[in-house]
Amino acid sequence: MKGGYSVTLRDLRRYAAGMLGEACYVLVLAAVGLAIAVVAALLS
Amino acid sequence: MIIQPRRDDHLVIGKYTGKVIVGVGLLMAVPLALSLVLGEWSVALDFVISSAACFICGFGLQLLCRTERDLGWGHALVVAAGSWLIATLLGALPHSLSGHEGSYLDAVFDVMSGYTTTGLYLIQDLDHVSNGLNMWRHLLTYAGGQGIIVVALTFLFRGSPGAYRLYVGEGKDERLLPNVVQTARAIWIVSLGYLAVGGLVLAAMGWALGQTPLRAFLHGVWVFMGAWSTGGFAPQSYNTMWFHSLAYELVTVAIFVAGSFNFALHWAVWSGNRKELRRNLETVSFAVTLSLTVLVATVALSRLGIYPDAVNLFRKAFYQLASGHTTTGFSTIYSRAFVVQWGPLAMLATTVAMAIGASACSTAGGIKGMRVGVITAGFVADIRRMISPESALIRQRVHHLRDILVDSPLLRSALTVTVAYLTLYGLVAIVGAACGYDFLQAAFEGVSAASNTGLSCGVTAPAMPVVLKVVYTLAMWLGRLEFMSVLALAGYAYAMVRGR
Repeated sequence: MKGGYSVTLRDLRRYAAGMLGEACYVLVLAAVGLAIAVVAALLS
Repeated sequence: MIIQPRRDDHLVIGKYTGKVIVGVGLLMAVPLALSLVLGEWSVALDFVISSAACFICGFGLQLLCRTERDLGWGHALVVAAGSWLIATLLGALPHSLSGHEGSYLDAVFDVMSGYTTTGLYLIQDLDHVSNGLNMWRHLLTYAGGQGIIVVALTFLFRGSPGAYRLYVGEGKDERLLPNVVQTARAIWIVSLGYLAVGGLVLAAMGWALGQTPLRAFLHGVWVFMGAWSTGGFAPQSYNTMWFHSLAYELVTVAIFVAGSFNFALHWAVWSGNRKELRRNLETVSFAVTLSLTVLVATVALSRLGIYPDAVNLFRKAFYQLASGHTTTGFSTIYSRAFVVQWGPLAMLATTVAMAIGASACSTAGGIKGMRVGVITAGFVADIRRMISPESALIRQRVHHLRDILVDSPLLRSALTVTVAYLTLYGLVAIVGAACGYDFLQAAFEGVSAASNTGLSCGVTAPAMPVVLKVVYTLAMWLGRLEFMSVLALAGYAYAMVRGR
């Protein structure tokens, strides 16, 4: 974003890549949660 | 000696409060337009009356309080807290006129819950609320997530020093860009970008799950707003459990975790600095505390044997904990299930997650991962000092967009706000217990309100004591604005009465 409002196609590509990166972070957290559940279910 | 505020102080506060109230009136144009398009005439009339009330108060204040003076720090704090309060009182009009609320106090509770992105509600017969009112419920939580002041900064203010002070007064203190109005607009770019993608994905999933296209679209947008703002409002009383879909749950988790990120982190990642996601103090702190609380809750639930397999255990434990930790309040279990199925240990883990909350300068509430991280770093520094030779110089740093030295002022500031939150949690829990609720349930619900989460174990209901409704409303307000603004408003009122 330059000068306030204008958003270029290049900006949009960067934003989409940022969103994907953030989604990966959430997937890692969910994978940890699933691993905990699997271990807990196996041990109980 | 307490100095009584002068006429000039009242004028500058009145003028800027008026601007924010006009912003609330303008926001009502969205549900009004939806009501008109869908032929909900009586609902449209409710919004005409309510927005007229906002314009009369807002423009009236600006007319009465004409001044060229800019806001000082004290004024900005008072305007931020006062605007939230008046915006709540006026924003409650459509709720009250709808006939879905037991009293005006219930409507105020719901609107404060919306603006502060809490998600607790007292509205009755939620499943049959009009589309217009549902749009208003979700829009105010979406706007509240960005900050009412941010909304006003984006559309109604010029970038004066006073504008920055207002922004800080609302509990946000990071500039994404050098100019504060540009910062407010950058926050909107992130939020609207996610709205476009998240809303469409949820709408498509709702359609695939059997909703009509219009319903799928509206529910997609509303559930997105509830998730992104970490508000937790949904258009049905069964909340996100209504969809009974693992995929839907995962998408909402992705949205509300992203919504709980610091806007400065979003802007850094969206500007190409993706390493920040794994280095940032807040994302690291959140990952650690979420994993620990999920571990405790999962172990507790697996011992009780409520859920038949690992996938169900994951779906229920991870979803409730992630929702609680991000202070969202979406739920895929019944409220009373926390008490009758989850038991004390899992409830305690959820309460701790809600109390910690997510990132500073985000839509989320709670103590915040930043403060937990700074305090932990302070402990580590103390331990290093103890085991090092006396002459050793220990410098502990944390990373948030840049390396920051953990020094005494930073540590003191983190500890002060943490103690304030813990005190608030304790007081609200005591009031709940004094009203006759079991202490763990009172603590769970009290922390949920004060940390702006919105998960409920069944205490919040239209029949709950009036004193608890008032205390929860105040706790939501205090928690969202992180104390300073509300205390400044109280100090201002005191100075008006007792000052000389």
